[in-house]
Amino acid sequence: MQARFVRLTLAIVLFAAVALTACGAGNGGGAGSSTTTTIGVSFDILHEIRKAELKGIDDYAAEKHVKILFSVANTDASLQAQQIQNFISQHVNGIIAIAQNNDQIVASIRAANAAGIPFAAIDRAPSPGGQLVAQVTGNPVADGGLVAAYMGSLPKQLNVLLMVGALTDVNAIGRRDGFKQSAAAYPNLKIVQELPTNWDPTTALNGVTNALQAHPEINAIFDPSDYLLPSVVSALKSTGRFYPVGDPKHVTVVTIDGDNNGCGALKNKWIDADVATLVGNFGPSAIDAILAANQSTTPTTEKVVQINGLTLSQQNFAATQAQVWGCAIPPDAFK
Amino acid sequence: MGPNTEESEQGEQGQATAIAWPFPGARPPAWLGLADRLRDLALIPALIAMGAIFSLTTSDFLTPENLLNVLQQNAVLGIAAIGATFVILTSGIDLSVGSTIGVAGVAASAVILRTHSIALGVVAGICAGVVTGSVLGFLIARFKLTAFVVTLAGLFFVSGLTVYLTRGETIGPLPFWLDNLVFRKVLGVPIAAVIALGFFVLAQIALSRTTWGRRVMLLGANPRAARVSGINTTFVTWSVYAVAGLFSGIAGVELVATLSAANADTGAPFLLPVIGAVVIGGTSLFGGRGSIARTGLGVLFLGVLINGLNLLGYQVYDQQAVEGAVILGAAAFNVFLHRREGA
Repeated sequence: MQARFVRLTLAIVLFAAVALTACGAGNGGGAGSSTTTTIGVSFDILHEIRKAELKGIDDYAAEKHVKILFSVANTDASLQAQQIQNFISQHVNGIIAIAQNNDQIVASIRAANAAGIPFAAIDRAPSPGGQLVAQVTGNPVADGGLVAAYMGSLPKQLNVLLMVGALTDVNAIGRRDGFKQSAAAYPNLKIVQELPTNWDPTTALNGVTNALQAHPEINAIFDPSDYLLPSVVSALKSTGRFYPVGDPKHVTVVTIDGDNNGCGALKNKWIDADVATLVGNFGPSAIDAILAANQSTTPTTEKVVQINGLTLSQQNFAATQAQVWGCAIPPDAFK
Repeated sequence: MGPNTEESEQGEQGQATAIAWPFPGARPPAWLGLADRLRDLALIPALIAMGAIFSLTTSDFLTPENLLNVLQQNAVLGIAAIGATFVILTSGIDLSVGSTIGVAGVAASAVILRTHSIALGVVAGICAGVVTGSVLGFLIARFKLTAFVVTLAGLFFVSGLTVYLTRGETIGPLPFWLDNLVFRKVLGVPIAAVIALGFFVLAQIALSRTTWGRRVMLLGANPRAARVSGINTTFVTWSVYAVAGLFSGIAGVELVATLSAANADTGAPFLLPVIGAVVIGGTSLFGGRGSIARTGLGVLFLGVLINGLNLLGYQVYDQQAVEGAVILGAAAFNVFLHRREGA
């Protein structure tokens, strides 16, 4: 019996190995030849916004003849640490990461520093403690302020449901704080409830539904990401509050990101505005900083780039949509 | 009647005076047998074969740096899996392991930040794990509640409590030199791996060389015989969950040292791999058969598998599918063996 177990296990492993190599790997392993610059890219999750960021990286890397090794941590901070450690052991020439947790990524940055590998952070700013060659992010505080400014410009009293992402995410905190700081200047804005969602669509759906039922006076929603927009729309529909822009009963909805769902919702007059983050520009800046660090013989100073959002609204949609990456992709969430 | 069927005799105090195996097909745990020692090593050929395959398909696998990474990266998983092994050996289950790792990490981080004492933080983290395991074990052992339900409830309760206490925020960053508990090398091996290996050795000795360990095995192999033979099965049942909590607490502290910060969700991804490693290693889900050594090999097997797939460029989604398939296969084989041996 024991021998049969061993033989069976071996057979399964060998079959799996043949299947693996026959099917081919994802983007291939290894840091490549010594003359090819290889950059390890670590993302926290993969959705439309991240796909746009990855496209920006891939397109620019192809231009610069840089090989990309890509991994996704699927919101697991310890897995991201392992994946970055694997990049280091593969002796990549640089690492670009979107932190799952801005505190927990610092250990990985320091590990890369110890190995002499340039590290660039995009989309989310890590906490201090590690040395970066570049930090390329949006400006979450300013983006939250743009949402408040748009809502404040509307000629009506708005009772706002303020959705918040994950409380461990510096972008979520920045957008919330930016909104609250700017909203104070607009007397027609009143925050009725704050709703943490942990960036989870189910939590968002349940929370928005409950909030609309508990506070019927809510007539505006700040959705901090297009990723949660389908949940917001579903909650409005389930509570009988879903009316298009222009209808007297319409609930004002403003989101952030500018992905295909946000653009589609604007086009269909379901939401009022979307503050688009120009995510396609993050990767090129990071790649440039890594290439410069590799060519420099002296330590490079950290390049900090904050890219402000662009408000795409019902009022300027026709003129501005071409500048928003999500408008080039068909929406997939709304059927 | 076959061998090992002597009746148990009640002494004057009403206690059984001999171990009884009154049930046809019932066998004593074979922890002393050569067969079990060989079964402990059964995964090694598969591990070597898998390593050979990855060596051939990617040049980054068989490097000292990568192999040491595999050991270090799976230290947390290994330590948590030790505790899970004791539970599964009694035919129990602990679904709260991820939440316990999370609360232990948060407790350790909070105490370190408040007191600036690593030692106090480590103690706090371990205590949080022990308390969690002890409470759940008490409910299971004392009130005979179903382990699946109690530990599932524990998963939600502990996780929710941790989120509430931390307000959903990350506790950190911790002093960076804390990662010396993980990455500093002892004779070239990351200290995290050395610590994990030390725990594996101690746990295996406790299981195979102590009275308590033998009682754990007997409880899983034949609960009725264990009771009849005078073993305090309530205590043994409670103790395995307390021990599981202890090791989850240690794992939580180790994880915090790796990441230099903690939040309620950090331990959640460990639930399936912990149980999976125990199952892949060959410890029976029905109890009474298995060892810490097997779990160690199961941890290595999973670690090498994920590492190799990662180096080959397979994404986490592909890795999870393969991991799930392997665990499913191991569990199915587990059931097959159990039915065959019980027939």
